Amino acid sequence: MRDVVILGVGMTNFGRFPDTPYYKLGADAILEALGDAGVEWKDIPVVYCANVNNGHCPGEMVEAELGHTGIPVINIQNACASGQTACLMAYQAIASGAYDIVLTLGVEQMPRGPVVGMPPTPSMLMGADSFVGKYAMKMQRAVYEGRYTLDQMAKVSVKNHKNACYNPRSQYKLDLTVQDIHNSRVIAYPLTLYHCCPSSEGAAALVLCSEKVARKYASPPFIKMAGGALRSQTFVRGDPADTHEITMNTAKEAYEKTGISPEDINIVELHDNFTISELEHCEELGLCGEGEGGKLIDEGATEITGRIPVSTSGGLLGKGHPMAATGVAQVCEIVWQMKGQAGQRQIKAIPKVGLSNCNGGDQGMACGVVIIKK
Amino acid sequence: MSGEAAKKEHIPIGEGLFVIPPSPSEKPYLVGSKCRSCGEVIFPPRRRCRRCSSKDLENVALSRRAKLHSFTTVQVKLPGAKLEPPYFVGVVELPEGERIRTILTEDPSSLKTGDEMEVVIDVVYKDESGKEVLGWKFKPVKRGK
Repeated sequence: MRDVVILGVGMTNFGRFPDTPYYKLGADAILEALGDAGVEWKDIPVVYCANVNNGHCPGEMVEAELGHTGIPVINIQNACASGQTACLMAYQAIASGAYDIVLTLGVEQMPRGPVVGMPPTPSMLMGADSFVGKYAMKMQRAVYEGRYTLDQMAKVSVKNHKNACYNPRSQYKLDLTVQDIHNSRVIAYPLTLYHCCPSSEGAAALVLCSEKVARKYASPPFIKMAGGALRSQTFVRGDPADTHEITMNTAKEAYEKTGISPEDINIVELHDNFTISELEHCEELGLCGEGEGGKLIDEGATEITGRIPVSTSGGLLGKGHPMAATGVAQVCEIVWQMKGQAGQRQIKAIPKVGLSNCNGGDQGMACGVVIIKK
Repeated sequence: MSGEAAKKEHIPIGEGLFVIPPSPSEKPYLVGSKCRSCGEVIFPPRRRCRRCSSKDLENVALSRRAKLHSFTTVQVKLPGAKLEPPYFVGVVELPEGERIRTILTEDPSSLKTGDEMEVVIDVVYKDESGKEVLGWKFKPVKRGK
Protein backbone atom coordinates (compact mmCIF):
# COMPACT_ATOMS: atom_id res chain seq x y z
CA MET A 1 0.00 0.00 0.00
CA ARG A 2 1.24 3.50 -0.87
CA ASP A 3 1.39 6.49 1.45
CA VAL A 4 -1.42 9.02 0.99
CA VAL A 5 -0.50 12.71 1.15
CA ILE A 6 -3.02 15.43 2.03
CA LEU A 7 -1.80 17.98 -0.49
CA GLY A 8 -4.46 20.65 -0.04
CA VAL A 9 -7.51 21.48 2.08
CA GLY A 10 -10.38 23.92 1.73
CA MET A 11 -13.54 24.75 3.60
CA THR A 12 -16.36 27.29 3.40
CA ASN A 13 -17.67 29.04 6.46
CA PHE A 14 -20.28 26.92 8.21
CA GLY A 15 -23.66 28.50 8.91
CA ARG A 16 -26.84 29.39 7.06
CA PHE A 17 -26.60 30.51 3.44
CA PRO A 18 -30.16 30.67 2.10
CA ASP A 19 -29.06 32.51 -1.04
CA THR A 20 -26.21 30.16 -1.96
CA PRO A 21 -27.11 26.73 -3.36
CA TYR A 22 -25.10 23.78 -2.06
CA TYR A 23 -23.30 23.23 -5.34
CA LYS A 24 -21.79 26.72 -5.15
CA LEU A 25 -20.66 26.00 -1.56
CA GLY A 26 -19.10 22.77 -2.82
CA ALA A 27 -17.30 24.57 -5.63
CA ASP A 28 -15.98 27.19 -3.16
CA ALA A 29 -14.45 24.48 -0.96
CA ILE A 30 -12.95 22.67 -3.95
CA LEU A 31 -11.39 25.84 -5.36
CA GLU A 32 -9.77 26.61 -2.01
CA ALA A 33 -8.41 23.05 -1.73
CA LEU A 34 -7.09 23.14 -5.30
CA GLY A 35 -5.45 26.51 -4.63
CA ASP A 36 -3.92 25.20 -1.40
CA ALA A 37 -2.56 22.16 -3.27
CA GLY A 38 -1.47 24.12 -6.34
CA VAL A 39 -3.43 21.67 -8.49
CA GLU A 40 -5.69 22.56 -11.43
CA TRP A 41 -9.28 21.26 -11.66
CA LYS A 42 -8.44 19.65 -15.02
CA ASP A 43 -5.79 17.53 -13.25
CA ILE A 44 -8.39 15.89 -10.95
CA PRO A 45 -9.28 12.42 -12.29
CA VAL A 46 -12.00 11.45 -9.77
CA VAL A 47 -14.22 13.00 -7.08
CA TYR A 48 -15.59 11.27 -3.99
CA CYS A 49 -18.50 13.42 -2.85
CA ALA A 50 -20.20 13.02 0.52
CA ASN A 51 -23.71 14.46 0.82
CA VAL A 52 -26.88 13.48 2.68
CA ASN A 53 -29.67 15.95 2.04
CA ASN A 54 -29.41 17.28 -1.50
CA GLY A 55 -30.92 14.69 -3.82
CA HIS A 56 -29.57 13.03 -6.91
CA CYS A 57 -26.00 13.45 -8.19
CA PRO A 58 -24.86 16.20 -5.80
CA GLY A 59 -21.20 15.71 -6.78
CA GLU A 60 -22.02 16.16 -10.46
CA MET A 61 -23.96 19.33 -9.62
CA VAL A 62 -20.80 20.71 -7.99
CA GLU A 63 -18.64 19.48 -10.86
CA ALA A 64 -20.82 21.45 -13.31
CA GLU A 65 -19.78 24.65 -11.48
CA LEU A 66 -16.13 23.94 -12.24
CA GLY A 67 -16.28 22.75 -15.83
CA HIS A 68 -17.19 19.36 -17.26
CA THR A 69 -14.17 17.13 -17.57
CA GLY A 70 -16.07 13.85 -17.79
CA ILE A 71 -14.40 12.35 -14.72
CA PRO A 72 -16.16 9.77 -12.53
CA VAL A 73 -17.97 11.28 -9.55
CA ILE A 74 -18.80 8.89 -6.73
CA ASN A 75 -21.56 10.07 -4.39
CA ILE A 76 -21.49 8.76 -0.83
CA GLN A 77 -24.16 8.83 1.86
CA ASN A 78 -23.57 7.46 5.35
CA ALA A 79 -25.43 10.05 7.44
CA CYS A 80 -23.07 11.95 9.77
CA ALA A 81 -20.25 9.51 8.93
CA SER A 82 -20.46 10.39 5.21
CA GLY A 83 -17.39 12.63 5.35
CA GLN A 84 -15.16 9.96 6.89
CA THR A 85 -16.57 7.40 4.47
CA ALA A 86 -15.58 9.57 1.50
CA CYS A 87 -12.12 10.17 3.03
CA LEU A 88 -11.56 6.45 3.49
CA MET A 89 -12.75 5.61 -0.03
CA ALA A 90 -10.38 8.24 -1.39
CA TYR A 91 -7.60 6.92 0.85
CA GLN A 92 -8.06 3.42 -0.57
CA ALA A 93 -8.05 4.76 -4.13
CA ILE A 94 -4.59 6.30 -3.64
CA ALA A 95 -3.15 3.65 -1.33
CA SER A 96 -4.13 0.83 -3.69
CA GLY A 97 -2.68 2.59 -6.72
CA ALA A 98 -6.06 2.92 -8.46
CA TYR A 99 -5.54 6.70 -8.68
CA ASP A 100 -2.56 9.01 -8.11
CA ILE A 101 -4.68 12.00 -7.17
CA VAL A 102 -8.21 12.25 -5.78
CA LEU A 103 -10.55 15.01 -4.70
CA THR A 104 -12.72 14.41 -1.61
CA LEU A 105 -15.67 16.69 -1.01
CA GLY A 106 -18.23 16.94 1.75
CA VAL A 107 -21.11 19.31 1.03
CA GLU A 108 -24.44 19.92 2.68
CA GLN A 109 -27.47 22.13 2.69
CA MET A 110 -29.98 21.16 5.39
CA PRO A 111 -33.51 22.03 6.42
CA ARG A 112 -33.89 23.94 9.67
CA GLY A 113 -34.97 22.24 12.86
CA PRO A 114 -34.35 18.83 14.42
CA VAL A 115 -32.92 16.17 12.12
CA VAL A 116 -35.12 13.18 11.33
CA GLY A 117 -33.06 11.13 8.96
CA MET A 118 -34.34 7.61 9.22
CA PRO A 119 -37.26 6.03 7.37
CA PRO A 120 -40.57 6.33 9.19
CA THR A 121 -40.67 3.21 11.33
CA PRO A 122 -43.73 2.76 13.58
CA SER A 123 -41.71 4.07 16.56
CA MET A 124 -40.73 7.17 14.63
CA LEU A 125 -44.24 7.85 13.37
CA MET A 126 -45.47 7.75 16.95
CA GLY A 127 -42.66 10.03 18.08
CA ALA A 128 -41.27 7.36 20.43
CA ASP A 129 -38.07 7.33 18.40
CA SER A 130 -36.29 10.61 17.64
CA PHE A 131 -32.77 11.97 17.96
CA VAL A 132 -33.67 14.50 20.60
CA GLY A 133 -35.69 11.94 22.59
CA LYS A 134 -32.88 9.41 22.39
CA TYR A 135 -30.19 11.81 23.52
CA ALA A 136 -32.35 13.18 26.31
CA MET A 137 -32.80 9.61 27.52
CA LYS A 138 -29.11 8.83 27.12
CA MET A 139 -28.42 11.82 29.38
CA GLN A 140 -31.09 10.80 31.87
CA ARG A 141 -29.70 7.27 32.00
CA ALA A 142 -26.07 8.43 32.30
CA VAL A 143 -26.98 10.62 35.28
CA TYR A 144 -28.98 7.75 36.83
CA GLU A 145 -26.00 5.40 36.41
CA GLY A 146 -23.65 8.03 37.82
CA ARG A 147 -21.51 8.08 34.69
CA TYR A 148 -21.66 11.84 34.06
CA THR A 149 -23.24 14.88 35.66
CA LEU A 150 -25.26 17.40 33.67
CA ASP A 151 -22.57 19.96 34.54
CA GLN A 152 -19.90 17.80 32.90
CA MET A 153 -22.02 17.52 29.75
CA ALA A 154 -22.63 21.29 29.78
CA LYS A 155 -18.89 21.92 30.05
CA VAL A 156 -18.42 20.26 26.65
CA SER A 157 -20.77 22.83 25.12
CA VAL A 158 -19.00 25.71 26.92
CA LYS A 159 -15.59 24.49 25.69
CA ASN A 160 -16.59 23.87 22.08
CA HIS A 161 -18.50 27.14 21.78
CA LYS A 162 -15.47 28.93 23.22
CA ASN A 163 -13.18 27.26 20.66
CA ALA A 164 -15.60 28.27 17.90
CA CYS A 165 -15.15 31.92 18.92
CA TYR A 166 -11.54 31.57 17.75
CA ASN A 167 -12.54 29.99 14.43
CA PRO A 168 -13.52 32.55 11.79
CA ARG A 169 -15.31 29.81 9.82
CA SER A 170 -17.62 28.69 12.63
CA GLN A 171 -21.41 29.10 12.69
CA TYR A 172 -21.57 30.40 16.27
CA LYS A 173 -19.41 32.70 18.32
CA LEU A 174 -20.96 32.35 21.76
CA ASP A 175 -19.33 32.89 25.10
CA LEU A 176 -21.45 30.64 27.33
CA THR A 177 -21.40 29.43 30.92
CA VAL A 178 -22.52 26.08 32.33
CA GLN A 179 -25.59 27.88 33.67
CA ASP A 180 -26.36 29.27 30.19
CA ILE A 181 -26.43 25.69 28.86
CA HIS A 182 -28.80 24.52 31.61
CA ASN A 183 -31.03 27.59 31.21
CA SER A 184 -31.39 27.39 27.44
CA ARG A 185 -34.68 26.22 25.93
CA VAL A 186 -35.76 22.74 27.06
CA ILE A 187 -35.97 20.38 24.08
CA ALA A 188 -36.60 17.18 26.06
CA TYR A 189 -35.44 17.35 29.66
CA PRO A 190 -32.56 17.15 30.55
CA LEU A 191 -31.64 18.00 26.97
CA THR A 192 -31.59 21.76 26.44
CA LEU A 193 -30.84 23.65 23.23
CA TYR A 194 -27.13 24.21 23.87
CA HIS A 195 -26.56 20.50 24.44
CA CYS A 196 -27.46 20.04 20.73
CA CYS A 197 -25.39 20.88 17.67
CA PRO A 198 -27.14 23.02 15.07
CA SER A 199 -28.10 21.91 11.59
CA SER A 200 -25.92 23.81 9.17
CA GLU A 201 -24.73 24.40 5.66
CA GLY A 202 -21.24 24.35 4.26
CA ALA A 203 -18.62 22.35 2.43
CA ALA A 204 -15.07 21.08 2.83
CA ALA A 205 -12.64 19.50 0.37
CA LEU A 206 -9.30 17.70 0.31
CA VAL A 207 -6.80 16.97 -2.45
CA LEU A 208 -5.17 13.62 -1.73
CA CYS A 209 -2.35 12.13 -3.76
CA SER A 210 0.53 9.69 -3.81
CA GLU A 211 3.88 10.82 -2.43
CA LYS A 212 5.35 10.78 -5.93
CA VAL A 213 2.72 13.20 -7.20
CA ALA A 214 3.02 15.34 -4.06
CA ARG A 215 6.73 15.94 -4.81
CA LYS A 216 5.76 17.61 -8.09
CA TYR A 217 3.79 20.25 -6.20
CA ALA A 218 5.54 20.62 -2.85
CA SER A 219 8.47 19.54 -0.74
CA PRO A 220 8.38 17.08 2.14
CA PRO A 221 7.68 16.60 4.98
CA PHE A 222 4.07 15.94 4.01
CA ILE A 223 0.98 15.59 6.13
CA LYS A 224 -0.45 12.15 5.44
CA MET A 225 -3.68 10.32 5.86
CA ALA A 226 -2.38 7.26 7.67
CA GLY A 227 -5.60 5.29 7.19
CA GLY A 228 -8.56 4.47 9.34
CA ALA A 229 -11.62 2.28 9.57
CA LEU A 230 -15.30 2.29 8.78
CA ARG A 231 -17.74 -0.04 10.50
CA SER A 232 -21.44 -0.66 10.97
CA GLN A 233 -22.93 -1.94 14.19
CA THR A 234 -22.53 -5.30 15.81
CA PHE A 235 -25.45 -6.66 17.80
CA VAL A 236 -26.53 -4.70 20.84
CA ARG A 237 -29.84 -5.04 22.57
CA GLY A 238 -32.25 -2.20 22.11
CA ASP A 239 -31.25 0.81 20.13
CA PRO A 240 -28.06 1.60 18.20
CA ALA A 241 -27.98 4.97 19.96
CA ASP A 242 -27.05 3.19 23.18
CA THR A 243 -24.06 1.30 21.82
CA HIS A 244 -20.44 2.01 22.68
CA GLU A 245 -19.06 -1.00 20.81
CA ILE A 246 -19.19 0.46 17.32
CA THR A 247 -16.84 3.34 18.11
CA MET A 248 -14.57 1.13 20.23
CA ASN A 249 -14.35 -1.45 17.43
CA THR A 250 -13.76 1.14 14.71
CA ALA A 251 -11.06 2.90 16.73
CA LYS A 252 -9.38 -0.42 17.53
CA GLU A 253 -9.32 -1.36 13.85
CA ALA A 254 -8.00 2.08 12.87
CA TYR A 255 -5.24 1.88 15.50
CA GLU A 256 -4.24 -1.61 14.39
CA LYS A 257 -4.13 -0.66 10.71
CA THR A 258 -2.10 2.51 11.24
CA GLY A 259 0.13 1.39 14.09
CA ILE A 260 -1.00 4.42 16.07
CA SER A 261 -2.08 4.12 19.69
CA PRO A 262 -4.32 6.57 21.57
CA GLU A 263 -1.30 7.86 23.55
CA ASP A 264 0.28 9.08 20.29
CA ILE A 265 -2.63 11.38 19.44
CA ASN A 266 -2.29 15.15 19.96
CA ILE A 267 -5.55 16.42 18.46
CA VAL A 268 -9.03 14.95 18.08
CA GLU A 269 -12.07 16.16 16.16
CA LEU A 270 -14.98 13.91 17.08
CA HIS A 271 -18.74 13.59 16.87
CA ASP A 272 -20.05 16.05 19.47
CA ASN A 273 -23.54 16.08 17.95
CA PHE A 274 -24.82 16.28 21.53
CA THR A 275 -22.65 17.06 24.54
CA ILE A 276 -22.84 13.56 26.02
CA SER A 277 -21.40 12.13 22.80
CA GLU A 278 -18.06 13.87 23.29
CA LEU A 279 -17.66 12.39 26.78
CA GLU A 280 -18.59 8.92 25.55
CA HIS A 281 -16.43 9.09 22.42
CA CYS A 282 -13.38 10.21 24.42
CA GLU A 283 -13.71 6.96 26.36
CA GLU A 284 -14.53 4.80 23.35
CA LEU A 285 -11.58 6.17 21.36
CA GLY A 286 -9.30 5.39 24.30
CA LEU A 287 -8.33 9.01 25.03
CA CYS A 288 -8.99 8.21 28.68
CA GLY A 289 -9.92 5.13 30.67
CA GLU A 290 -13.43 3.70 30.74
CA GLY A 291 -15.64 5.86 32.94
CA GLU A 292 -13.17 8.76 32.92
CA GLY A 293 -14.84 10.96 30.30
CA GLY A 294 -16.34 13.24 32.95
CA LYS A 295 -13.03 13.59 34.75
CA LEU A 296 -11.33 14.44 31.44
CA ILE A 297 -13.56 17.49 30.87
CA ASP A 298 -13.41 18.51 34.55
CA GLU A 299 -9.62 18.54 34.45
CA GLY A 300 -9.51 20.61 31.26
CA ALA A 301 -7.55 17.88 29.48
CA THR A 302 -9.56 18.38 26.26
CA GLU A 303 -9.11 22.18 26.16
CA ILE A 304 -6.83 23.66 23.47
CA THR A 305 -4.27 24.03 26.25
CA GLY A 306 -4.91 20.55 27.64
CA ARG A 307 -3.20 17.16 27.39
CA ILE A 308 -5.39 15.99 24.49
CA PRO A 309 -7.27 18.86 22.77
CA VAL A 310 -10.69 17.80 21.47
CA SER A 311 -12.85 19.81 19.03
CA THR A 312 -10.42 22.74 18.71
CA SER A 313 -12.41 23.89 15.66
CA GLY A 314 -15.47 24.39 17.82
CA GLY A 315 -16.76 20.94 17.00
CA LEU A 316 -20.23 20.20 15.74
CA LEU A 317 -21.65 22.17 18.67
CA GLY A 318 -19.90 25.45 17.88
CA LYS A 319 -18.53 25.27 14.36
CA GLY A 320 -21.77 23.75 13.05
CA HIS A 321 -22.75 20.44 11.53
CA PRO A 322 -23.50 20.34 7.80
CA MET A 323 -23.77 16.56 7.97
CA ALA A 324 -21.57 15.22 5.19
CA ALA A 325 -19.19 18.21 5.26
CA THR A 326 -18.32 17.68 8.92
CA GLY A 327 -15.97 14.70 8.55
CA VAL A 328 -14.00 16.35 5.76
CA ALA A 329 -13.86 19.66 7.67
CA GLN A 330 -12.46 17.78 10.69
CA VAL A 331 -9.53 16.70 8.52
CA CYS A 332 -9.05 20.35 7.41
CA GLU A 333 -8.86 21.44 11.05
CA ILE A 334 -6.29 18.79 11.91
CA VAL A 335 -4.17 19.76 8.87
CA TRP A 336 -4.32 23.48 9.79
CA GLN A 337 -3.29 22.65 13.36
CA MET A 338 -0.40 20.53 12.05
CA LYS A 339 0.72 23.39 9.79
CA GLY A 340 0.50 25.94 12.61
CA GLN A 341 -2.22 27.80 10.70
CA ALA A 342 -5.02 27.63 13.26
CA GLY A 343 -4.69 31.24 14.41
CA GLN A 344 -6.06 32.02 17.86
CA ARG A 345 -7.03 28.40 18.46
CA GLN A 346 -3.59 27.01 17.56
CA ILE A 347 -2.36 24.24 19.85
CA LYS A 348 1.04 25.44 21.18
CA ALA A 349 2.88 22.15 20.78
CA ILE A 350 2.21 21.58 17.06
CA PRO A 351 0.31 18.27 16.85
CA LYS A 352 1.88 15.39 14.95
CA VAL A 353 -0.90 12.79 15.09
CA GLY A 354 -4.61 13.55 14.77
CA LEU A 355 -7.85 11.60 14.78
CA SER A 356 -11.15 12.45 13.11
CA ASN A 357 -14.30 10.53 14.05
CA CYS A 358 -17.97 10.76 13.14
CA ASN A 359 -20.85 8.41 13.80
CA GLY A 360 -23.80 8.21 11.47
CA GLY A 361 -27.44 7.36 12.01
CA ASP A 362 -28.09 7.19 15.74
CA GLN A 363 -24.41 7.07 16.78
CA GLY A 364 -24.53 3.34 16.30
CA MET A 365 -25.21 2.61 12.64
CA ALA A 366 -22.06 3.86 10.92
CA CYS A 367 -18.74 4.88 12.42
CA GLY A 368 -15.70 6.28 10.65
CA VAL A 369 -12.27 6.98 12.13
CA VAL A 370 -9.52 8.65 10.09
CA ILE A 371 -5.94 9.02 11.37
CA ILE A 372 -3.73 11.86 10.17
CA LYS A 373 0.01 11.96 10.68
CA LYS A 374 2.69 14.56 10.15
CA MET B 1 -60.37 -0.12 25.21
CA SER B 2 -58.74 -2.94 23.26
CA GLY B 3 -61.92 -4.78 22.30
CA GLU B 4 -63.71 -1.59 21.30
CA ALA B 5 -60.73 -0.48 19.31
CA ALA B 6 -60.98 -3.53 17.08
CA LYS B 7 -64.72 -2.94 16.55
CA LYS B 8 -64.18 0.66 15.48
CA GLU B 9 -61.87 -0.48 12.66
CA HIS B 10 -58.88 1.39 13.93
CA ILE B 11 -55.78 0.71 11.92
CA PRO B 12 -52.58 -0.66 13.47
CA ILE B 13 -49.40 1.41 13.05
CA GLY B 14 -47.69 -1.65 11.56
CA GLU B 15 -48.59 -5.22 10.61
CA GLY B 16 -47.82 -8.03 13.04
CA LEU B 17 -46.50 -5.83 15.83
CA PHE B 18 -49.19 -6.56 18.40
CA VAL B 19 -52.25 -8.70 19.01
CA ILE B 20 -55.55 -7.54 20.46
CA PRO B 21 -57.38 -10.72 21.51
CA PRO B 22 -61.09 -10.76 20.59
CA SER B 23 -62.11 -11.48 24.17
CA PRO B 24 -62.10 -8.32 26.32
CA SER B 25 -60.95 -10.43 29.26
CA GLU B 26 -57.65 -11.11 27.54
CA LYS B 27 -55.08 -8.34 27.39
CA PRO B 28 -53.22 -7.21 24.26
CA TYR B 29 -49.56 -7.96 23.83
CA LEU B 30 -46.61 -7.10 21.57
CA VAL B 31 -45.22 -9.69 19.18
CA GLY B 32 -41.50 -10.36 18.84
CA SER B 33 -39.23 -12.89 17.18
CA LYS B 34 -37.44 -15.50 19.26
CA CYS B 35 -34.36 -17.06 17.71
CA ARG B 36 -34.34 -20.84 18.08
CA SER B 37 -30.60 -20.79 17.47
CA CYS B 38 -29.27 -18.29 20.02
CA GLY B 39 -32.38 -17.59 22.08
CA GLU B 40 -32.39 -13.83 21.50
CA VAL B 41 -35.80 -12.15 21.55
CA ILE B 42 -36.17 -9.09 19.30
CA PHE B 43 -38.82 -6.48 18.63
CA PRO B 44 -40.15 -5.76 16.06
CA PRO B 45 -40.22 -9.23 14.45
CA ARG B 46 -37.72 -9.85 11.65
CA ARG B 47 -36.95 -12.60 9.15
CA ARG B 48 -33.43 -13.12 10.46
CA CYS B 49 -32.02 -12.92 13.94
CA ARG B 50 -30.40 -9.54 14.58
CA ARG B 51 -27.82 -11.22 16.77
CA CYS B 52 -26.77 -14.40 14.92
CA SER B 53 -28.44 -14.09 11.48
CA SER B 54 -30.27 -17.40 11.92
CA LYS B 55 -33.48 -17.73 9.93
CA ASP B 56 -34.87 -20.16 12.50
CA LEU B 57 -37.19 -17.70 14.25
CA GLU B 58 -40.61 -18.01 15.79
CA ASN B 59 -43.11 -15.32 16.63
CA VAL B 60 -43.69 -15.06 20.36
CA ALA B 61 -45.92 -13.03 22.62
CA LEU B 62 -43.68 -10.61 24.50
CA SER B 63 -43.96 -10.08 28.23
CA ARG B 64 -46.58 -7.48 28.97
CA ARG B 65 -44.54 -6.10 31.83
CA ALA B 66 -41.23 -4.29 31.53
CA LYS B 67 -39.00 -2.03 33.61
CA LEU B 68 -38.59 1.65 32.82
CA HIS B 69 -35.03 2.11 31.54
CA SER B 70 -35.09 5.82 30.69
CA PHE B 71 -37.61 8.55 29.90
CA THR B 72 -38.15 12.15 28.85
CA THR B 73 -40.79 14.63 27.75
CA VAL B 74 -40.38 15.83 24.17
CA GLN B 75 -41.12 19.56 24.01
CA VAL B 76 -40.53 20.22 20.32
CA LYS B 77 -42.45 19.36 17.18
CA LEU B 78 -40.42 16.87 15.19
CA PRO B 79 -40.57 16.77 11.39
CA GLY B 80 -42.58 13.71 10.35
CA ALA B 81 -43.74 12.79 13.86
CA LYS B 82 -47.51 12.74 14.26
CA LEU B 83 -47.65 13.63 17.94
CA GLU B 84 -47.93 17.22 19.06
CA PRO B 85 -45.61 18.20 21.89
CA PRO B 86 -45.33 17.89 24.75
CA TYR B 87 -45.50 14.11 24.91
CA PHE B 88 -43.88 11.45 27.04
CA VAL B 89 -41.45 8.85 25.73
CA GLY B 90 -39.39 6.13 27.31
CA VAL B 91 -37.31 3.03 26.83
CA VAL B 92 -38.51 -0.09 28.67
CA GLU B 93 -36.54 -3.26 29.23
CA LEU B 94 -38.38 -6.55 28.90
CA PRO B 95 -37.54 -9.57 31.06
CA GLU B 96 -36.45 -11.16 27.74
CA GLY B 97 -33.69 -8.53 27.51
CA GLU B 98 -34.94 -6.52 24.55
CA ARG B 99 -35.43 -2.78 25.01
CA ILE B 100 -38.36 -1.02 23.36
CA ARG B 101 -38.85 2.65 22.55
CA THR B 102 -42.32 3.67 23.54
CA ILE B 103 -44.81 6.39 24.26
CA LEU B 104 -45.55 6.66 27.99
CA THR B 105 -49.11 7.24 29.16
CA GLU B 106 -48.02 9.43 32.05
CA ASP B 107 -45.74 12.35 32.72
CA PRO B 108 -42.44 10.69 33.64
CA SER B 109 -41.68 13.34 36.25
CA SER B 110 -43.85 11.18 38.52
CA LEU B 111 -41.90 8.04 37.52
CA LYS B 112 -38.44 6.72 38.24
CA THR B 113 -35.93 4.46 36.54
CA GLY B 114 -36.75 0.82 37.23
CA ASP B 115 -40.49 1.35 37.70
CA GLU B 116 -42.69 -1.55 36.62
CA MET B 117 -44.58 -0.75 33.41
CA GLU B 118 -47.28 -2.51 31.44
CA VAL B 119 -48.03 -2.45 27.70
CA VAL B 120 -51.28 -0.99 26.41
CA ILE B 121 -52.49 -0.70 22.82
CA ASP B 122 -54.03 2.70 22.28
CA VAL B 123 -54.68 5.40 19.71
CA VAL B 124 -51.42 7.22 18.99
CA TYR B 125 -52.59 9.63 16.27
CA LYS B 126 -55.11 10.15 13.48
CA ASP B 127 -53.98 9.60 9.91
CA GLU B 128 -54.73 11.92 6.95
CA SER B 129 -58.20 10.39 6.41
CA GLY B 130 -59.06 10.87 10.08
CA LYS B 131 -58.71 7.19 10.98
CA GLU B 132 -57.35 6.47 14.42
CA VAL B 133 -54.01 4.67 14.35
CA LEU B 134 -53.19 2.19 17.10
CA GLY B 135 -49.73 1.81 18.56
CA TRP B 136 -48.13 0.63 21.75
CA LYS B 137 -47.70 2.62 24.92
CA PHE B 138 -46.47 1.69 28.37
CA LYS B 139 -48.22 2.73 31.56
CA PRO B 140 -46.98 2.43 35.12
CA VAL B 141 -48.25 -0.56 37.10
CA LYS B 142 -49.87 0.94 40.16
CA ARG B 143 -48.97 -0.84 43.36
CA GLY B 144 -51.84 -2.60 45.13
CA LYS B 145 -53.69 -3.35 41.92
